[in-house]
Amino acid sequence: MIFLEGGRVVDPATRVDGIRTVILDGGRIKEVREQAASPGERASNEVVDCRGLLVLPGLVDLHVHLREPGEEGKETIATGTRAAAAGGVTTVVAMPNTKPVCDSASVARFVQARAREAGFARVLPAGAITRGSLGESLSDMAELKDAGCICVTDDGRPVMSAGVMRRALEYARDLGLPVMVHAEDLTLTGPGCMNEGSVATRLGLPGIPAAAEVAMVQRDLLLAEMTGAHLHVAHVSAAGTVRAIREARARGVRVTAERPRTSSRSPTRRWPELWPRCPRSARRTRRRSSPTTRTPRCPRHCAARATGRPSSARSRTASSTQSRPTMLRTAPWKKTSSSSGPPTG
Amino acid sequence: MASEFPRHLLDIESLRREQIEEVLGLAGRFKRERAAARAGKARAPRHQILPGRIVVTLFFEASTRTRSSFEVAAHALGAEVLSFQKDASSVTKGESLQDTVRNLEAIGADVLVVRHPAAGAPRAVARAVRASVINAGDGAHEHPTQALLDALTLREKLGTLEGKVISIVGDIAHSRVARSNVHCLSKLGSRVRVAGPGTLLPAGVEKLGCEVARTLADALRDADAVMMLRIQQERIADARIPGTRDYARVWGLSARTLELLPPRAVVLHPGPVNRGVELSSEVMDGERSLVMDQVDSGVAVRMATLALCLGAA
Repeated sequence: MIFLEGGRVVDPATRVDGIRTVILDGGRIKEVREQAASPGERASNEVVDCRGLLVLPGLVDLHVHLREPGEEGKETIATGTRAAAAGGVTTVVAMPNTKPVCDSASVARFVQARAREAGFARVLPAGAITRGSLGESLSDMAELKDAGCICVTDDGRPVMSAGVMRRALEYARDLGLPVMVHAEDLTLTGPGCMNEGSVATRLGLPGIPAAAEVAMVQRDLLLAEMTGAHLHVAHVSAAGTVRAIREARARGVRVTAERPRTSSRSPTRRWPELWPRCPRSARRTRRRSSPTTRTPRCPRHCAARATGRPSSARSRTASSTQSRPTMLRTAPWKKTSSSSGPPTG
Repeated sequence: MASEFPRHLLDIESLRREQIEEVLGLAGRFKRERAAARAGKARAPRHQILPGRIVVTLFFEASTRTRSSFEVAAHALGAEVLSFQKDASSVTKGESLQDTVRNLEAIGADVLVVRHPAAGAPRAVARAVRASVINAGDGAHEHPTQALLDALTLREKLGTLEGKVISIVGDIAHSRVARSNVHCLSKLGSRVRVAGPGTLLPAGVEKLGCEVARTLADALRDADAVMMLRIQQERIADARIPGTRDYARVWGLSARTLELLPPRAVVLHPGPVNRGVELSSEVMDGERSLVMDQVDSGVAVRMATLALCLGAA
């Protein structure tokens, strides 16, 4: 057995945050306990000194570009998952904008097979919303789901046609697939390559107005509300998007979102729901707005306690199948708070 | 001090006022010598400044003034000129910019004069080679030698740039000339004002350190000089302006609108001019126009730049 001793164990699922000893046996966690290894255990087992380190459950990265098949010069499934594992990420969701696009079972199965061969991290493929991610006709979503895809997205480009998006949301809703969107109105983006403003002006680079993202998110929120589908907004970068999503969630729209590591820090300050880790365990202090949220906590892990509602989100976490990443399945939207099991719409 | 001048001239923004003054001082001397030589007086022996050095002009965009004047300037200093032709090169076979310039350096380039449609390309070149790199215009970022030649022209005409009001009118959003001039003229103590249709004023432009005028009348009021920028046909296609007629009517400088400009103020244009759009022919060819004097300054400024970047002045 291996003893991980002296590290700070943070596991929101079991509400552990403190110095613990983690005992591994045959590659599995056998026990997490407070007392250190006894002299007898020390003599017969390997003890790893984890003082000053965090010991965490495997992290999930919802938005990863493994580039294989097609662009192996940039990244491969082996290099990408190896990097993920080195950073503590044990599950990644692979975006489908490969060459060819992951719009068929064969590509989805290929990605998973290569991931198993590499053996570094679990890879959950995302399928395309539209065939070839061209935004024109729907991909074979049922086939993609059967082949292991856990959501659909045309990441890298938006579905520009509102009509196609509406049908995609309806179809995905019936299959229980979340629809992840790269929200950007390309007619506003134009040749832009960075946030519009004084920095772009100084550098002489064409800017992208925040409205390019916000307008598209507003459209997709309306369509998600109309269809009842689960919308997931990828790489939120504008304050207006945060406001739009917050308002939509208050109305009961099934929407989740993520924040890119590379974007400005303001969305996390203004929108703790997007915080990618549990602030309670990271011991970050937030502005305390009301007595009910005195203890900093993230809704993903602590929504039920904060609001006093029984948490369908948490029960889903515990009961759902292995095939869905945590961030997707624990969205505490209001409308489904009394249902059990993952939302199917 | 020559040793203080940077090896590369990539932008005006990072230059200090003394460095700009140094270029202008040396360029002013070269310009007077060129005028004296044209008048038949003894030619100053400047061809010993860069003997045997190789200057490569590497233009990925069309150019009349900048390329020719860099090449004339290099010859005048005794350097050899290699005029790189993009369309006849391996760039058409897909060779990267970095590989292209590394090869030109291996051939012997001491200076690379780079014009490129992508903002930041000269900086990428400077990172790839040991040779000096001079930015001859990169996308909508900067065109430092243009700003320096404008400053030289204006300083000779106005005596000083301290406290003067210089307006830049036109397509500010896509203009590297505007950006370099805002930095250069404000470092030299001028008040710079930019103006143009709202569709061609980039977001946050006032943070560059200039004022923004919303009408031609406001732009020209109390100005000591006005710099008119070229309007490109593409701006009509991408819905920034309705057309050149409408533009000429609202923002063009003609005999009629010239009356809005104070009597002693002068008119500049970096070229190429759309006659009848941003400048009418009578203004362009009129006595207040410094357009040809700007071109003359261009050779002197580029001589000074080459000499200073190579530490030979």
